[in-house]
Amino acid sequence: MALKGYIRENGQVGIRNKLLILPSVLCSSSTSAQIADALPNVVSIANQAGCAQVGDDLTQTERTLMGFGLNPNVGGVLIVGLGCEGVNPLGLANKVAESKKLVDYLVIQQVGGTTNTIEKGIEEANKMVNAIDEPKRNVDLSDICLGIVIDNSIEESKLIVLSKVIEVLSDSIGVVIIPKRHQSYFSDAKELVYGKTVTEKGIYYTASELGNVALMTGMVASGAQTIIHFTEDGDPAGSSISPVIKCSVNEDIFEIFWEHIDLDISAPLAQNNESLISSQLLSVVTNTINGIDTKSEMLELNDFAIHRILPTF
Amino acid sequence: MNFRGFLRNDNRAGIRNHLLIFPTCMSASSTAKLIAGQLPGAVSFDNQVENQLSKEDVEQVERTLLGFATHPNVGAIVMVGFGKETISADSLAEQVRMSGKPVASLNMMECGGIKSVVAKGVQIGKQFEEELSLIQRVDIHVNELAIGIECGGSDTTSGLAANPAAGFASDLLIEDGGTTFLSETPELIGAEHVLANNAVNEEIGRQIIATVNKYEENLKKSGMDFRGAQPSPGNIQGGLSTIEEKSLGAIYKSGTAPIKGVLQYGERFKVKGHYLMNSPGYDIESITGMIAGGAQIIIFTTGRGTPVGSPIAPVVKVCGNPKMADIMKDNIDINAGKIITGEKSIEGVGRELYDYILKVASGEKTKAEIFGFQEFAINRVIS
Repeated sequence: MALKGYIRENGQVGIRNKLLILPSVLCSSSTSAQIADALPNVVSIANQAGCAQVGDDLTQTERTLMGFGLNPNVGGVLIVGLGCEGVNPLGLANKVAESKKLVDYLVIQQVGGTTNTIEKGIEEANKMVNAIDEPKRNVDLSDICLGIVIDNSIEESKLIVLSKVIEVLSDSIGVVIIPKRHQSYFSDAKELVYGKTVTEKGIYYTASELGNVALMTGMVASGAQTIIHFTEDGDPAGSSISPVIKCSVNEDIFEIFWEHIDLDISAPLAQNNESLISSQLLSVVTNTINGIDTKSEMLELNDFAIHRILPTF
Repeated sequence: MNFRGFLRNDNRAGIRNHLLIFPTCMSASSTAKLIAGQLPGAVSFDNQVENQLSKEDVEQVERTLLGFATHPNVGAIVMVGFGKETISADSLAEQVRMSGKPVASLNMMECGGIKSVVAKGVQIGKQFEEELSLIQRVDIHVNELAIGIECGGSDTTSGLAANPAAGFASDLLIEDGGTTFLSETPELIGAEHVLANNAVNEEIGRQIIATVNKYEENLKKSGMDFRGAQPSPGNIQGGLSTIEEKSLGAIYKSGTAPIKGVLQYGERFKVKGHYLMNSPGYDIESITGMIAGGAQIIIFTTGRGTPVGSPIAPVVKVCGNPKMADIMKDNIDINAGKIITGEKSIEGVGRELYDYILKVASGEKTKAEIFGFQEFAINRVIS
């Protein structure tokens, strides 16, 4: 089946074409959300950090926010800052602009208060939405970076089958990122710093012992255009940037949470039928790439959490 | 002197009558937001707590969440839990019930999916809104008020105008028998001896010094140069060159009333008076902690201007920089810049602020409330 996506100026491939209103700090998060809410296909994230941070914790926050701007599903970025925060909105804008995508920024203290910022933000966002509109072109599975989230509670026997499934997916999909916890199943997996952009094809593992949302957030920041979440518990976490495909490994959970779970693989999993699971998943991934909404997209679930290394001071 | 507030069943005084849609964990946050989105009068917050890191972290998160759940500004609660979290919706709801307010607990695993939970939450929320609309404001003595005092986006005017005015208002409330919190421990570094001299007794003075020293030690343990975060880039642009300089301006918001004790982050005060709460300099985490500790209203002094609000407590912006007070006028409630321009005295703005607080306590909306800003963040214990 032909795959269609958005080919960005730097060669990256997006499977969605979002305008991201990116708050550099919690203080500008509500303002960003109010701008995003006013327009269709414009999204924002609930950034709870961005100031009073130090060292690696600050760099990790900056890298993650920058990664969201750089994600190929994002066609343009409007950064909204307060003006006195630790994460510099102009610095963020300059970094994202290196990808050649459309970037602009607004600073509340410079624009002069909420009303002006929201008014200007909506006006600017409206222009940007039109400017990033572009036709879809032929793309390939090898252009895709897939994040894999696996619930901690999934038992060993199921993990063995899932790791074979992931191996099959990685044969055709360009980049696969797995949680560090599962690196032992993949001899050729390379380490990926949390939220760092992936530039070469292959299998990567990133930060372990995180909650699902912090893990997804890091993967989206690394460039994942879509995420498969193998779930035992049915956590509904979704992302506004990259469609999350919820894949239940537990029949009972699927029965409760079918509204937000895309497919249930518990039966083929019990039969160790990894080829059936792989082909089912590839067809969902293909549909998702071609624009069919996942359930978490239909429900507009938008969760975000940065993996913090140090407390805020 | 009285204000018009809501007297709760546990005898605490509320200044707002919010219906709070309360996510007990990250997995329930989006669902809680969907419920609140369908109830125009409801408030909610974004709970980004996923995995908990240590005993101290669990305690701090739980203390903060419980402080919000039992808060007197909240009239009724719909708890939304996922079903697997460490701090369960049912256990929080049980403690809310003991405080005597209407509460419902929805568990996603039991209710069966987002749409069912949202439908149930909206249905119960509407009933609660009806119940809440029947509660009338009554006369309550001002000594039932607790104010959290925060400064953020500070510049050189903060220590000269906005903070002394806030300190003056704090003294007025303490004279009237009420409660105020000073906060932001890292912004006391270099000025702790001044505060310790202002403690109610030597023991509390020692506690103040110890709290600041411990904070500084933790900072050092992280191996990081704290001066990368404090003063912030905005503070430096605003003319504050060192943390000591910032601190010496920051403590003016404490006023002259003796400090009665040191509270942990999010800890509820028991006896009325003036306290120091051990909180970070990051404004919203600090505000969240003080509200959890029982503050019904926040005074937020600033030089550079800030829009932030809180889901359950009004935040009053006091700007000491006359230029920013004008530029950010749709976010600033009180212009303390008039102290800088010589139009008003510290005492004059302090009294204006106190009068305004009583109006807000009786129902007048602050700018952040009008914009619907509901920022929330818990200070996590990460080591």
